[in-house]
Amino acid sequence: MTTRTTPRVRGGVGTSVQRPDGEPKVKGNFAYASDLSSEDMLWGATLRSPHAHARLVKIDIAPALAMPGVHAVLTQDDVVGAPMFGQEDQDQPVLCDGTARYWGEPVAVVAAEDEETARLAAGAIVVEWEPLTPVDDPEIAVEGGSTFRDMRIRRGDEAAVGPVVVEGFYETATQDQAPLGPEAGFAIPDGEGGLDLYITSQWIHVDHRQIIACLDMDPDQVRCHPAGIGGAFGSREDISLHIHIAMLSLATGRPVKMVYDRSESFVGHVKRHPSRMWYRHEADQDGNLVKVTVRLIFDGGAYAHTSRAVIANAAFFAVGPYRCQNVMVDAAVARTNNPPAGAMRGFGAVQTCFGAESQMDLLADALGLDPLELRRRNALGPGDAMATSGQIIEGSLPTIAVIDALESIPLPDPIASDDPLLAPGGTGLTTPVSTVVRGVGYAVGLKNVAFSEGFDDFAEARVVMTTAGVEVHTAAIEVGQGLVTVCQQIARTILGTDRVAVVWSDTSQIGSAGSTSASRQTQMTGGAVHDAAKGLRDQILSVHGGDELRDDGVYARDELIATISEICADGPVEHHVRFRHPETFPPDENGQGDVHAGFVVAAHRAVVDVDPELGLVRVVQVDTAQDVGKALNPQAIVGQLEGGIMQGMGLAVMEELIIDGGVIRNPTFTDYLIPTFLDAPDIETRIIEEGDHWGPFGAKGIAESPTISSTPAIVAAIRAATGRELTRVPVRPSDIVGI
Amino acid sequence: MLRLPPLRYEAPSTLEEAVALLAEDGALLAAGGSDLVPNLKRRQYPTARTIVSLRRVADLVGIRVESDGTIRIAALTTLATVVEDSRLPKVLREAAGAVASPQIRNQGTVGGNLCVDTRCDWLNVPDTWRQAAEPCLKAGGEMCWVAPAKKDCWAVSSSDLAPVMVALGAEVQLIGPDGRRSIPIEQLYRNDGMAYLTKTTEEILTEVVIGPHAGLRATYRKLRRRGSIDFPILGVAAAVRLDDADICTEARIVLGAVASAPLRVPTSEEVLVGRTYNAETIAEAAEAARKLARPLNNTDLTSRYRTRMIPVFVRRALEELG
Ligand SMILES: Cc1cc2nc3c(=O)[nH]c(=O)nc-3n(C[C@H](O)[C@H](O)[C@H](O)COP(=O)(O)OP(=O)(O)OC[C@H]3O[C@@H](n4cnc5c(N)ncnc54)[C@H](O)[C@@H]3O)c2cc1C
Repeated sequence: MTTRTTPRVRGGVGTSVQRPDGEPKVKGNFAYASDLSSEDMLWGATLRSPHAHARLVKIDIAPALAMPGVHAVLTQDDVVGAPMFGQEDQDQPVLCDGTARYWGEPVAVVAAEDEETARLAAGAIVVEWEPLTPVDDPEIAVEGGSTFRDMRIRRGDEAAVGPVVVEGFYETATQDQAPLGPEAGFAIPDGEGGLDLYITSQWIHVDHRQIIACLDMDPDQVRCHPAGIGGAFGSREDISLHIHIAMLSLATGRPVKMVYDRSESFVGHVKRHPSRMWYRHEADQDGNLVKVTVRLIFDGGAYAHTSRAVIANAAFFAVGPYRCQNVMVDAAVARTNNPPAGAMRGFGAVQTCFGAESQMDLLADALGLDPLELRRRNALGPGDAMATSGQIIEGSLPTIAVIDALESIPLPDPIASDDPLLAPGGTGLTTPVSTVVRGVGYAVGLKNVAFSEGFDDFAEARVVMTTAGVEVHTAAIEVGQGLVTVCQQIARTILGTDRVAVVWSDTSQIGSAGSTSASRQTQMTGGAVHDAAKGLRDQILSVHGGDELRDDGVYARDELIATISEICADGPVEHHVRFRHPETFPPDENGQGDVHAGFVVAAHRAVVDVDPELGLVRVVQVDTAQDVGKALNPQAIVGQLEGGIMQGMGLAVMEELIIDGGVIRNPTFTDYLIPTFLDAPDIETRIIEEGDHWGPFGAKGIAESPTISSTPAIVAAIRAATGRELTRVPVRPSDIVGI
Repeated sequence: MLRLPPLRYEAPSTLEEAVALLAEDGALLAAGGSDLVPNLKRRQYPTARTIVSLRRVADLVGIRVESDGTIRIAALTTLATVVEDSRLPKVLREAAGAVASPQIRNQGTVGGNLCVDTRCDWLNVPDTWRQAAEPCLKAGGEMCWVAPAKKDCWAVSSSDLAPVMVALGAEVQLIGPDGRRSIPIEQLYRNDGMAYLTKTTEEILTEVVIGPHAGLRATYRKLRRRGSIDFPILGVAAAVRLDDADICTEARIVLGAVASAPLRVPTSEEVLVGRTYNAETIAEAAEAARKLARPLNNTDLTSRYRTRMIPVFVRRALEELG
């Protein structure tokens, strides 16, 4: 997509425009969903299953209903429409349907005058349970055939052999998205039997579809509005309290607000799939990959959510950004009684990148090759076939360029800092600098952009020229990633004016923009805004006969020939677009085909200081080179790269939901550890611009890449420092000490 | 959001009034509230009715250093104040600086830190979790989830200052219905996760006093996964006095976060006292510490790991003092 740009506009493509939501968020003025309220509102609360697997024998809501201030107590019997919801498969009951399949599954919901009454009323419901044995081991579930999806990839010759063989078994624990804003929603009856829902979501149209089905209402009776979001990372891709607040509001005729507390949030959203991965790499003496054999078991928990897409991604990215003719992958995502898993930044590619990159290091070691040299030799690039699906890479894929750029970043001072706070152990002053061992590690990661496997993936946008400026209408969700500036910058550049406002639309005002996930909105909604703005410009130029659009109107050979008022003489002028990416196709029975719309690659180098005796790690520096296509907003990219590295570091050394018999044992920010500012490494970034074959100005979505290869790079650095195998993340101090 | 249960809030202006209020059923004392409030929000104190805040009581803030070196820290002095006071021994400032985060150190007090509630993975969760399993001993139930065979509560003493104060031989001043008394801080603690303090609930800690300590070398180290914020999963405070010939004349070694009270390690102390302070005696003393403590699986990381780190930690602390 090439478009002539007008350089004189301020705040256009390629500049580091500041986000309008940045300052209010820092100052505490930003309105999050949990800040919404009205005079006459009720509070909602949820009663949850205290068992990972149990039969609901009897439920008595009378004691809750009898409490003063309680207006409604609803169970699955009160669901008038479809009893089940789900984004891909509708397999989860709105409220417990007689069997609880995971710990914390919603059983009943309550609306009351205040939060405490609602909470007490939920607790007053009397439930008789018959506990059943939970299936909490995904391997046992897979053996018993209990899976959401089995994926099989057979490419090339299964009998091929390479003289150099490395094998490994790898595990990743359950990571939580841990968004600072918990789930929150506000439902307002419209007085005509319908509802306005203010929800935290990554895709309001797909929520809308599920909500109206369960409420048995017409599409135009329910409007889903995006409410202020404090982070998402995949956790808001699936429904949580949305249907519940709608039901409570309809039942009471009152606005209903519900906000999960932190611990409820941990059980109330899907999380990253824990994984077990068996790998075998075979290579020739020069390090060329000959065959890769992989077996994957992911734990999907109790309900499907996006598990089927996650396991496909895991399988397709199981080899990484490398060429290989012979690839065999068997992957399964298990149905268990563990907390449901679903989308999280990196979406399956995070787990297999840890396995694949650990293998590449083992292979480099076996061959006596430099780890980056081995990766260069096998690097996947434009025109090559994906090792797994066989799809030919059509757009840009600068794998070697990101490796080279990463290597060119200077290493930090080889000596551990003499500031004791920057030693492993931090303020605990555990570690004399003299005992610290330094390690350096690398990893490269590949990810697809947008939805795959033949999914009808589109984004709508409408660009409107008014006398007051340009409006961009979209139902895409800004989760804090900076979509607002991307939309503005694209429209500015094409329309020649800096007066551009983004209008976040509800589900009744515009069609779907698709999900804010899969690194897709910059390319998809950005692409829609690009095409809509271009369509609008072409339309105006053809009506008025000029050759350029500027802030004050249409120009012909540098002369103003129609002012904005003249352009809008009959009212605002608009152009609406439904944007689609290049078509993708479902894989065949061997997992082959053009399943992906586009690819993005990144590389990370980690430097760590380790206290080998205590097993403590200080991540000193993590550098990255990132393929971005075209940098629409360099500062926003750096923000994504740094934040993604922090999340990747979390998985590498501390983030883990401890789940025991289906119960999350550390459901607080005291016990679920995420890196603090003191733990944050220095980060150097290099942005590689090689325009892609689709997307605005050649830009690529980059939001997930930084989380993917940062984790294995950090683990590789700890291995380099300690000589330990470290086949599981997060790496625990005891793994480093060897107990 | 986790919310506080409905409570009455009292902020008396004298200690006597506060003591009287504390005699009422369900009255709880609050200093900075940085431990009390999260525990209340998780509904760990189901019988709580009234919060008695010390905020308005005069003369409970400040640090005095007397001419003989005696240090008097009033109970409501914040941890941040301790960190910043250059007259104080380094060990105290470092231990206070290892607590939580800057924001919490601005709020948390020395008295609150010394009386901070014991912690356990099974206990410090919201009530939905505690109710889903059978409540444990400390939550009013019949059994301990960490050591089901035992009849005791094993919640962990998690104060960073307590082991240091024990190592420095500090005393605490208490005021209660029967007036004032002063006890060695070691006697304030009891190795029982439920009744972890020997004082009565009406008694208020008003001051901690560290007597003259010239020549005493002391240090504190704290183990946990992140560089800051987290409670200790192991702490070691060590204080030794060496004579001119490097003979150890006095030694106090105290472990934090491995039991329900700060744990003196006499086996290690005995190794040191009367002997030359060198690598060999240090190694022996460190090894002797291993036998005493039995941390359980109720903090971050495993008891196996924490047990293994005890001698390492003791050795490093003692090495620093050499
Ligand atoms: C995220 C987080 C991290 C933390 N990390 C640490 C840590 O690393 N190390 C650590 O030691 N603590 C930690 N804490 C606990 C706490 O913040 C500190 O111990 C703090 O010093 C407590 O002081 P406070 O004044 O806030 O106590 P409060 O919460 O007011 O009181 C704590 C307890 O002591 C009692 N009490 C308070 N003052 C007195 C008094 N004068 N006389 C008698 N009883 C009294 C109270 O009744 C209450 O039971 C952490 C807390 C949080 C929330």
